[in-house]
Amino acid sequence: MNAPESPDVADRPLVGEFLATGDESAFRALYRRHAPLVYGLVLRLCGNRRAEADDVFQETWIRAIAGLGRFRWESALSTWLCGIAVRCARELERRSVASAQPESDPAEGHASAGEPGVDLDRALAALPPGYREILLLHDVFGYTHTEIASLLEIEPGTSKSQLSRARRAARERLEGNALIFRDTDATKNRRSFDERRPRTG
Amino acid sequence: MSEDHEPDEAPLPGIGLMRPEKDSPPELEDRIVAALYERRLLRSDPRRRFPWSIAAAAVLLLGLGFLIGRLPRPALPAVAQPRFILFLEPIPQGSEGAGSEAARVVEYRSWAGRVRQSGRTISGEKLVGGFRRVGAEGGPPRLSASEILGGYFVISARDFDDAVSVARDCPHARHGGAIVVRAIDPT
Repeated sequence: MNAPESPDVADRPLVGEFLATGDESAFRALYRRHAPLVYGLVLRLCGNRRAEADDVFQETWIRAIAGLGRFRWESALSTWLCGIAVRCARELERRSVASAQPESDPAEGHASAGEPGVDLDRALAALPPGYREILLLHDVFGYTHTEIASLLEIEPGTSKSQLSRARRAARERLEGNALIFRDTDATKNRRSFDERRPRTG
Repeated sequence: MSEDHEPDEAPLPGIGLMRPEKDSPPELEDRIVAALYERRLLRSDPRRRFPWSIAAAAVLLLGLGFLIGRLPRPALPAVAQPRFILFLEPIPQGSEGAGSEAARVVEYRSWAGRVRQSGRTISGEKLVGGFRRVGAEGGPPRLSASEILGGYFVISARDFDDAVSVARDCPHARHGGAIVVRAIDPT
């Protein structure tokens, strides 16, 4: 399910109940329905830095709940939530000087080494935030350029050109990783060869 | 995506196979609920509402008990399981983490609710500072349990391991407080 759902009838009763009661169980029902998608976006927008992602995720829900009464169903609820998540992540990015580079291995704890997604996760985490947003929203979350343009408040043409650049940048990083791995292998092989050589003197 | 014309650069191999969803940490849900209460974005906790239907049923049963000449016996745990006590050592100063006291109360309450929903019983109290010691006057000074306890919970659990797993999930441990688990003698 890569494509975002169209405005979903399943969300309307949940939102209606929350707006009518404002109670915890109604919130939790909404939360549990959308948390995996929104958290998946937030975690990657934050370059897989858990602490930052958790803060952005919390702020996303606070703003969403505060503004839910003004939501007009002009998009899917999930799209609206993702838009809030993008804005919250951008604000944190602006505030955080230290967020330019991951503090630790960005794929750590989310996938095992050797899984195909790990290199992609690393490459995405290493991208500049603007490229990361476009690549995630289009290629991973399946949003159209029109939807992305609306979410990011840009022109659809800008979304397309940015996507092209983002893919190129991510590809370069993936190829860079591959070169590093080849270098490491070469070093290891050379060391093994040196260790096998008979010692002289 | 029919409206989109693909850009020059092809998608990265395998990117279409990445799952958009990621499981959020379970404790984050309670943290967010607590934050929403703090900002008054949730109106009330339904678990705090008085269950009038249960109260009405209780009054009816009590009346029936009198009618047949027997007072109702104290309720037994829903499942006759061993009981354990979780001693909560005070959280060291500066280790409490972010969030207000009210937010922490909501966290503890949510945890207790989950314990109950899992079929276990739970009760407990938070202790306030200060104590008086009686008995064993003149004996050597010892560290009293009163000095090291911040509160306690009594829970039912299948066995010791089960009780420890309940304790591990308690917000007290996440906030830097130690929990000592001991079995209650069933006799």
